[in-house]
Amino acid sequence: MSKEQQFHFPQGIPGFEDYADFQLMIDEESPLAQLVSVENSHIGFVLARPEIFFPSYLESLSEELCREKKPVLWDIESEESISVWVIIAVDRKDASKSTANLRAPLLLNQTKQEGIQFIADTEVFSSRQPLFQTTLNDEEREGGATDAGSDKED
Amino acid sequence: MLVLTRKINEKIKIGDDIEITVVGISGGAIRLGVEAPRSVKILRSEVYEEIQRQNKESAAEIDQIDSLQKLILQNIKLEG
Repeated sequence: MSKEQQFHFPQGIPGFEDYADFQLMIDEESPLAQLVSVENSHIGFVLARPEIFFPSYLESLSEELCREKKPVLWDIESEESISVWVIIAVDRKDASKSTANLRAPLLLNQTKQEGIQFIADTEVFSSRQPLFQTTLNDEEREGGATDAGSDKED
Repeated sequence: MLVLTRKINEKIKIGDDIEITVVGISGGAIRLGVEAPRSVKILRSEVYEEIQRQNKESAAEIDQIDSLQKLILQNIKLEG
């Protein structure tokens, strides 16, 4: 069920440019994964499958990748072998306040076993998007526009 | 640092395949056009710095990753 795969990041990961080799640990049934440096035991990340938390994200990202015609380590047309993960900033005091970095997703090329952290050149994606949208936040954000799906108006 | 003066529409060339053009100037802002190979990463510096900062904040010791992951999974269950 769980598997490990090693990826080479030719450009490193911003902030950790000196480390190029990372191990991805996935559990097929989990929305989360772990990415750890092969070279430095201080560097590990919690990752999430973005489509689980943000259903329209992959479509928007794919549009952005086409628009920018970047990253490009690889020909982006060979999309089928690329998996997308986002880095989670876990709030240790209150996990419900954890955020996902949607601005800079990890693109992993399964075929070449290479990875990059793509940085989108647009403000549309936040680097600190709350992972959990509480009802309170929805109300704050949209005012009365959240009627659909709300069953509290009895 | 090499400092050059350029007027509007003038260019500078970096290496063989990168060219930067001053496209416009208005107020305190300068618009630059960059031509470079697709493999060259071009970003506003502050964006790259924000991602660096964010990555450093998100990184944890490898032996703590399991427990951090559990915190998130517990929260998913609470929400679900």
